[in-house]
Parts: sequence; C-alpha cells; structure tokens
Amino acid sequence: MRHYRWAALIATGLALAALPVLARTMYARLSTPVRSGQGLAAQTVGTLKQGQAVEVLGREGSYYRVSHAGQTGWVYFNKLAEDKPEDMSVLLTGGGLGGGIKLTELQTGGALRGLSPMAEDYAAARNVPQWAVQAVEEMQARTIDAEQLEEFQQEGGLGEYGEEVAR
Amino acid sequence: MRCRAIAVLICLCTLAAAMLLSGSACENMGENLGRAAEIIEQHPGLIRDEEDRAKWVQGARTVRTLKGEVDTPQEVAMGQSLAVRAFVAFGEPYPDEAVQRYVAMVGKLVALQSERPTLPYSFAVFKSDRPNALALPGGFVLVSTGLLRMLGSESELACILGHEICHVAQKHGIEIVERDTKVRSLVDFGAALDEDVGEYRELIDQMYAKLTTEGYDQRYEEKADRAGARYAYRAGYHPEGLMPFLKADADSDRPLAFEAYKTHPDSRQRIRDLRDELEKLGDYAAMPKLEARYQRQVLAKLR
Repeated sequence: MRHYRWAALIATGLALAALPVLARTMYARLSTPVRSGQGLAAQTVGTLKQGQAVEVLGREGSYYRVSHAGQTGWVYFNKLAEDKPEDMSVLLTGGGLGGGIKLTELQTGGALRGLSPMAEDYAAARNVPQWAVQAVEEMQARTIDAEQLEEFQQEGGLGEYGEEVAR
Repeated sequence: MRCRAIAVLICLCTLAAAMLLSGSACENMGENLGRAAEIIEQHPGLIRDEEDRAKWVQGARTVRTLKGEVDTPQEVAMGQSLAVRAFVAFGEPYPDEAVQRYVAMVGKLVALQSERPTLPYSFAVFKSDRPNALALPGGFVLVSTGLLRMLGSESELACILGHEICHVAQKHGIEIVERDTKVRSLVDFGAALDEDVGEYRELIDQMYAKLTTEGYDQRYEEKADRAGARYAYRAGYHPEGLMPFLKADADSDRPLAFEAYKTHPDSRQRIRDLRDELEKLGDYAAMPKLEARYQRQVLAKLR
C-alpha cells in the first residue's frame, strides 16, 4: 500500500513538472502573424505585437501551436522568444546619458536619430572630426522596416520561406 | 559600532568581489554599495576618523557595477562615443549605400534572433583592407571591406555578424571593462553614469583601449562563436560560417581572426566548442548559404 502511495506521489510530481512544457508563455520577437495552419499559405487569424506574450501549447516541426485571442493558431519558431524582449520605449524620449537620442519607432524599422550630449562632448573633447560623427549618425539612421526584411528573406529563401529549415 | 560598520562593509565588498570574479554581476550590488557609501557619509559616527571614512566611501563607490546599472539609453550613448573614435581609427564608411544596406539587412535579420531583439542595432562597413570587425555597446557593429572580401557567402557574413551581435546582446564589452582591475581603479563608474564629464571621458577612453587592443578572452569568444551560429541558424542560414576562419587560423602561423586587434584565444578549442554547438542544431546541411547573392550584392561592388 505504501508503495502505491509513493508511486502516486511521484506520478503527480512528474505530471506537475511536465505542465510548463505542455503550455508555456513565450513572447513575439517582432510583430508577427498567427496562422490557422503551418506554412505561409495558411490564413492569418491574428497578429502578435512585438513583445506580446502568447501561450504556447506545443511544437510541431518549425511551428509553435499557440492559443491567441481565444483560438488556436500557428507561429513560425523563430518569431518567438523564451524571454520578454526589452521595452525600448525609453528610447523614444531618452534621458540621462541617453538624452538627445531618439528612436523613430518601436517596431523593427525604428532607427536612432541624434547623438547624446555626452557623446557629443566626448567627440569634441577628443577632437573627433565631423565626418566621423556624421558616420555614426548615418549608420544609426539607416532604416530597414519589417516589410523590407520580409522581402529579403523571401528572395533568399530564408526562415519560413526556406523549405529546408522546416524540421 | 565602528567594528559593526566595517564588518558590514567587508561583507558587502567580499560579496561584490566574489560576484565580479565569478562573472555573475548582480544588478543590485552596485545599488547596495552605493547605499552603503551614503549611509557612512550621513552617519559620521560609524567611522569617526575622517580620513578612514573617506576611504570607505570611495571604496564602496569604486566597486559600483556598470553592467547592472547602465540603462539602454546610457549604453547607446557609450556606443556612440566609442563608434566616433572607431571610425577615426579604423577607416571611413565605405561609400556605397547598397553595400551598407545589404550588410545592415543581414545584421538586422540575425539580431532579431539574439537575446535582445528589440535593441536598435546599427551596422556599418568601413574602408580598410585589414579583416576586422568590431562590436560596441548599444548595438553598433562595424565590419571592414577587407573582411567582406574574405567571405564567400551571405551565411558566413550572418555568422560573423551573429558573433559580433552576441558581444552586444550579452553586454560582453561592458562586462570586461567592469571586471578590469586597472579600469576600476581609474574610473568611478557611478560618477560616469551620473554624467560627471571627466569620469565619463575617462570611462570611454578606458573602454575604447580595452575593446580595441585586448578584445575578448576565450570565455567570451566561445560564447560569441556559439551564439553567432545559433542566431544565424534561427534566422535561416547555414550555421557553419565561422568554421573557415577558425580552421584557417588554427592551421596558420599568422592569425586570421576577423577581430584583428584582439588577444588570440586558442582556435582549436574554439573549433571544438563550435562543433559542439552545431551538433545541437540538428541536420542543417541543406540550409542556404546564398553565395550568389553575396557575390552580387557585395563582392561585385567592392572596389
């Protein structure tokens, strides 16, 4: 009888330990569609915003099965992260050493504008030529939005567009 | 009372040193030590000797951490300060916007798979025949034309950018500066983050010297090699892109590593570590390398 009790306890423990695997929370790395099935041809049934939490019910091949807005859908594996991505909204206004820097938008296409006053002071103090300051401003202002990234992946057969990744 | 204050401080400092040595920087540690310094200042009775008290306050403030305290705007500001100097030292931007955009496109795609996908990463190609790449806090990644000429495919570029992105995403640059005893003795991190101009300039000078002369040690390089392959794989690329460099490096008397300025960790060990990571990724043999697109977008355009 005692053995049965132990067995029941162990089984309960194992079942509880398995729960997070069966259903766990993940987060959207970027704004991403939730589809009715696996593959790009499946209908879009919802959209996850960047950083939005979603309940993951399981994984099949390269897709996560998720529960979103009361229905079940599928999201490509590389669109979700285990940890909640940093909230970059602080960069929209700046502050402290980062004052003077402004992020144009929070989505993938967001680019930084301007140099912080501390960076400007440092450049002046170390006699950095203007062209180098301009080079930094240009590199950080280069905008690549989500649509352009999508086209780039499609053209190269990368990620969801590549058959070979699906496993 | 004095003994108790000293005992508390010793405990805090020992804890701080242990955390720094173990590499597990605690986000609250700097805050605690800063608070300890404030308490000593506000209660002079704890340490009556003025000179002793000043030393304890200075000591507690000196070990304030960077990694735990720096916020993203501050990190970006540091990256900007370092990047302006890097351009002067390494070379001007390559004057072809198509090449710049292509590298940035691959970089952004790979960076989305990092631990910090929302950080606004910035990429630039600079004119230099020397194969070189540099990652700076806040998401600034620079690669030389000399390095781009050595590559044969977009997947190799993706893995190299992934390696650099890892240094940013995991804040390796800030961590190695923070762990450096010499830098800690020269810079009051707390004052620099509180916008003390003199301390801030000193911090950036020290950071710049550290990142561009010594670079990263074996531990960080191993992490970056593994993460670079992992990010590239998740982005959809064939993940073996770093292997040709490490193999060439291991077989040559002359270092071929793409971070030209750094100390030179053992390539054979790095190869073993990378193989171990690649095995975890499963069967990737048929994943795209995109040699033709790289040829068209980069090699055909580099003069």
